[in-house]
Amino acid sequence: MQVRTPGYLAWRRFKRNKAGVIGLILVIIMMSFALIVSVTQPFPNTSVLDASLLPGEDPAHLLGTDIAGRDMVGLLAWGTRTSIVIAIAAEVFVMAISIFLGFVAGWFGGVLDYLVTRVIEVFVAIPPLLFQPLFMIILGATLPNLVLALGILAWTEPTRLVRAQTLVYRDREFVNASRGLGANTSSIATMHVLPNIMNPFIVSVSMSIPAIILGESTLSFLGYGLSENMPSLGKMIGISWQYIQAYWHMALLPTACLSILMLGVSLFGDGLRDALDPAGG
Amino acid sequence: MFFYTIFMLRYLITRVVGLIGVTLIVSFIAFMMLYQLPGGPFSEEKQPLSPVAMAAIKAKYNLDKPFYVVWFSWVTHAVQGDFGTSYQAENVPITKLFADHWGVSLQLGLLSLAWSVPLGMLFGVVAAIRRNQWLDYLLRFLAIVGTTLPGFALTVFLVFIFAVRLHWVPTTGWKPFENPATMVLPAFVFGLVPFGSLMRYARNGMLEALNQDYVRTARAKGLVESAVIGRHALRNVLIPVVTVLAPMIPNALTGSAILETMFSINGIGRYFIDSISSRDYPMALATAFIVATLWGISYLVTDLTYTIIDPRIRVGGR
Repeated sequence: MQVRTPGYLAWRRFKRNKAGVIGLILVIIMMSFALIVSVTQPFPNTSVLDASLLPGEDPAHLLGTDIAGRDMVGLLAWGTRTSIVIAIAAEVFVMAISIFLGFVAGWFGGVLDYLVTRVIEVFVAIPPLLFQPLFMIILGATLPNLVLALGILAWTEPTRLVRAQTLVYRDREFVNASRGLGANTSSIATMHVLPNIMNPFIVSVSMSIPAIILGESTLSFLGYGLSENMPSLGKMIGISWQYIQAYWHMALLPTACLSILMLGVSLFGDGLRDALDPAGG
Repeated sequence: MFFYTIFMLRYLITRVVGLIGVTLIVSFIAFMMLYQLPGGPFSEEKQPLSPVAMAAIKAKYNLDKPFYVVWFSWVTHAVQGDFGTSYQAENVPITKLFADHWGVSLQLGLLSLAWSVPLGMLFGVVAAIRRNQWLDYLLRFLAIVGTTLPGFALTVFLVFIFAVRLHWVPTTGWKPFENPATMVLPAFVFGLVPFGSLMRYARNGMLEALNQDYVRTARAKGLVESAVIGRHALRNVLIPVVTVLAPMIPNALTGSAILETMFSINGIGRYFIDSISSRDYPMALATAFIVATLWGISYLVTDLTYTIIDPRIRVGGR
């Protein structure tokens, strides 16, 4: 008999949600596509002889080539990989910031809480389309800067959640008992408060992934994303948009990749919310 | 009641002061960043001018002083409605640029709300009534696609199908009177997010309402189903709708910068995007300032609307 751990129960709830399972499958498909192709072949910087083949014109290039004669399969896989890598990196940044600031604000209250809440209000009001391009122009179009530019505007919602949940658990009996037994703040945080708020926190973080992927592709679409020789779906769409009459595949294929990824991540996030945090959200 | 009025007044004042503070800080951050930008409009390699002429230009645009001084003078002018002149269009005051181009963004925004709000609510209610039937699944799928796919991705697909292949609508432009077909795609794409989220909320609200005791009572006393839904259940849908609708209004008013760029629509959003690449600081600042203020006001109004629609919600409470 299967042991009924919370994880098992959550997985059983998740499996019942068809949309969430479809989302997970889409994400796995896109991740394996990006991983397998980018491991087996390098980023197609060199062009083949025949520029801008349409899909199906050459069996060696299944999805055709772009206007510079680069293989579309390779470009798409590497671009998808960039989206996934940036989403993961930005979420790690967001998680670190939001756990720390949210706990500090909720636990200690007072001036610290006031400061964190006011800073959140300011960051919510910053227009992303002004801040992110300026950030990239000033600091340079590198991968770490892009992750920062996206993460700096994404930490507010999870931080608010950690703060609110910490407030809830701060005065619970088991936390008071632990404090009475002489536990220090960091061990109360890691042993008692954080494990209890993990589920809504994971949900909140997973719900912010689509916004990160969208932010990256929007920035790249406008030309403020990664520099010239770095692969990105948004950049491919931005550049090829003007050729849509003749070389439709150059715009449609990266758009399709991006759409499948976004749809998968969103559906998976919804399913995760229903499985982990059925009462909230 | 008297104490409540005092309390509300205090709450309102705190919120307005907070709003002004946030707007000031955001404009300060934006100012600081714009000042750091490499390659301004008067950078030496772009315009080889004599030092005297350069100094004159810098003095004219206040670029010879430290940035916080310039920021302060900018703010004092901005609150009086003077946002300076745009660098893109020489000697055109930004207020005039806004007056000339905001109309187009407004048309786009209002048109997209005009179809998405009624249809989103209607389809949400229909989906709830037809729960777990094929129509419900289809409408929910539409809502998911509309809210999760990025606007520019949908634009690529729709332009390819309806403009490039089928030639039903033009690929770009915005000519409401000469060629109304130009408005179809932008207004459709821009309305998809409000449509999808309204549908979702209306469906959830309706499902919740249909399970309530008062709906059962209405049915039990023999009311026809249309009256049960129209007169009793539908009211329950309105509160969530207000909460999702309110943040969409400033969004619709300021226009979608990306869509305006893709469809070559001469709205305020497109000027905003262009202002960053062409280093048009006054325009970028003015747009950010106005958009941030609109957002703040709309959040405040939303919170106040809650208390009017639903007296159970008290502002500032726990």
